[in-house]
Amino acid sequence: MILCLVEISDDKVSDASLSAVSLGAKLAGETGLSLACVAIGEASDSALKELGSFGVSSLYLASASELTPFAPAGWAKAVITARDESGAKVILGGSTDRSTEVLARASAKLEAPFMANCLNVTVASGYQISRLRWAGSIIEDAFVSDESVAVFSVVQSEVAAPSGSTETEVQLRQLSFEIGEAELRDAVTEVLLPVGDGVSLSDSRIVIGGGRGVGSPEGFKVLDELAGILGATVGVSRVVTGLGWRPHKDQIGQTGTKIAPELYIACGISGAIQHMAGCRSAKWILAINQDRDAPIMSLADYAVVGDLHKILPKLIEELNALSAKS
Amino acid sequence: MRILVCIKRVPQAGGKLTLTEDKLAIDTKFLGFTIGPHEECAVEEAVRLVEKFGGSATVLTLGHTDSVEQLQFAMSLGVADAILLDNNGAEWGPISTAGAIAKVIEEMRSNGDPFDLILFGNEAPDSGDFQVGVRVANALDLPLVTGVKGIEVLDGELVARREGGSTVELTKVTLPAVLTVKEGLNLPRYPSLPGRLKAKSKPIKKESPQEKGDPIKTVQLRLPVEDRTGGVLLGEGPDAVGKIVEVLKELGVVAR
Ligand SMILES: Cc1cc2nc3c(=O)[nH]c(=O)nc-3n(C[C@H](O)[C@H](O)[C@H](O)COP(=O)(O)OP(=O)(O)OC[C@H]3O[C@@H](n4cnc5c(N)ncnc54)[C@H](O)[C@@H]3O)c2cc1C
Ligand SMILES: Nc1ncnc2c1ncn2[C@@H]1O[C@H](COP(=O)(O)O)[C@@H](O)[C@H]1O
Repeated sequence: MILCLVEISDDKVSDASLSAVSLGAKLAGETGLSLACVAIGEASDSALKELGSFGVSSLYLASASELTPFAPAGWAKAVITARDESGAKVILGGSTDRSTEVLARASAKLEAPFMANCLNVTVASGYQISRLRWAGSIIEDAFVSDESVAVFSVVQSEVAAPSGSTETEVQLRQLSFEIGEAELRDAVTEVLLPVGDGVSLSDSRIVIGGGRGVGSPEGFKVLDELAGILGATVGVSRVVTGLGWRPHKDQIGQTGTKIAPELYIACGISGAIQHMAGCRSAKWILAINQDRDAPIMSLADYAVVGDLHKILPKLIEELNALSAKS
Repeated sequence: MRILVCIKRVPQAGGKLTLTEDKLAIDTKFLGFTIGPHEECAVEEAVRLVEKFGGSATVLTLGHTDSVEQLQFAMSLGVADAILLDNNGAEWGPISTAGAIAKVIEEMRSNGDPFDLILFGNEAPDSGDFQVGVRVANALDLPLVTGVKGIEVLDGELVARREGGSTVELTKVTLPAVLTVKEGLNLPRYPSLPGRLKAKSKPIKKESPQEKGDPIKTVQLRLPVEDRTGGVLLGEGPDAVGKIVEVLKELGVVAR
């Protein structure tokens, strides 16, 4: 049996979980083993149908109310109980913060190895895996020797999602296990809605990035103005947050926010690997930098050489003139 | 409060990573070394908590003797002393690393020097295994909160704040506890000159840890294929603005 931890919210299985389920379906196909899932909370008919389209034969569900919104030790116990009942040797999950933590906790309890951020897993008297290291700047091919249980988290998988042509009937199996102090002592006690300030960086269609080259906190005025015209959000490099010019929530990169806009305009940013780790998913990148040899100039789709403080004001002027005309 | 911070020495890569000839490691010949941003915040938080509540902070690393550089960096910021688990720079996986760290903490606890708080980075910048702190918490049977971006301590209890997609989650735990933290928790200070000088004479306890063994073996590292064709040069200086506007129109970002 292959077991996948899935996160279900608003009647939908999360996309991150579906990458794990599609890798699970691939492994099930290769090994002839069946595929089961485990989830916490409720499973709607539409979620079950979605899982069925991947050939999932059963869903182990832990619906005790103490486990929501998030009791990571309790979730890990649900995974372990589901694996005890199913006899699974392979446990997979998405690579969200929550799934990663739950898988890590479950593997610690099971004394099993846990491989995070896998792109692919193949069974071969053990496991051949490829996984991301250095926040995606390096891919590692590795071999995991056969263990009684092995745990993997999956990133947007290299494995194509199955066509969804199967329509397996998913059997619902309620999990029951004791939920005590050990499962609840580090559960979430309160959920707050943050004081929202518009579209977040990660959801923006256009992002304008500023780095050390912006020069000062005041220097960001041109970036903010351009963002206003384009309906964009301003993001920054770590040098900018480290200097206290902008708050950390604006930081793009390995230890900041990952963005995936249509267009990213990077101004005065050199293009360090840790910065690129956060903007790699942008559809288009335009770089403005006075150094034509800065790494970002060859990593971007379009490059302009020059001082951002001379180029951006002129660009703002032209865009204003354009909108005045129309 | 007695606080332990676990840090890892990692290459300070910037522009581009290069691999060694056997493709099993990063070529560090021309690189400096550092600790990850999450861990910098863990060190800063430990120092602030000690400034506020008294007690002392200890920093620990497992790795090569050269990691003394990173231990001294942490001590230059206000950490009192250090522990070096010297494994001669061997690449240990997370099971061995966590096992060795948990063992030291356990020994100190039974010798009457228990920690109230044990801090880790959420993930190491290089390996990114996302689990050493989790395994240590499990081995010591302590409460754990991961991905922490805010800490408040009150009467032996700690409230940890973390950020979900569009919400903020609070978790209240009793001490002792383990936290893995993320950058943004605070804005770390820079070491002062007196701090750097003092760090040189702070004690470093050295121990030789035992390897448990991780069942994972690297076959090869490779660089991901970049799918961008790379840098169409639109021009230089303000004269390139016409071209930029054209591109913005083409991409549908501004109306034609
Ligand atoms: C573990 C780890 C994690 C990290 N995580 C992140 C992260 O999440 N995000 C992140 O951004 N960084 C991160 N970093 C830091 C990263 O390595 C770089 O140091 C950082 O991204 C550099 O920021 P920068 O490009 O603004 O500054 P610099 O590298 O100093 O580049 C400034 C650029 O601006 C150009 N410039 C200067 N003046 C002008 C001008 N007037 N007009 C136009 N161009 C100009 C220069 O030519 C230069 O290319 C991390 C580092 C480590 C070790
Ligand atoms: N060799 C090490 N020595 C000390 N602490 C470590 C070591 N490796 C990892 N850690 C700690 O564990 C955290 C998570 O690491 P990882 O599980 O490898 O992603 C890091 O941010 C460090 O705080």
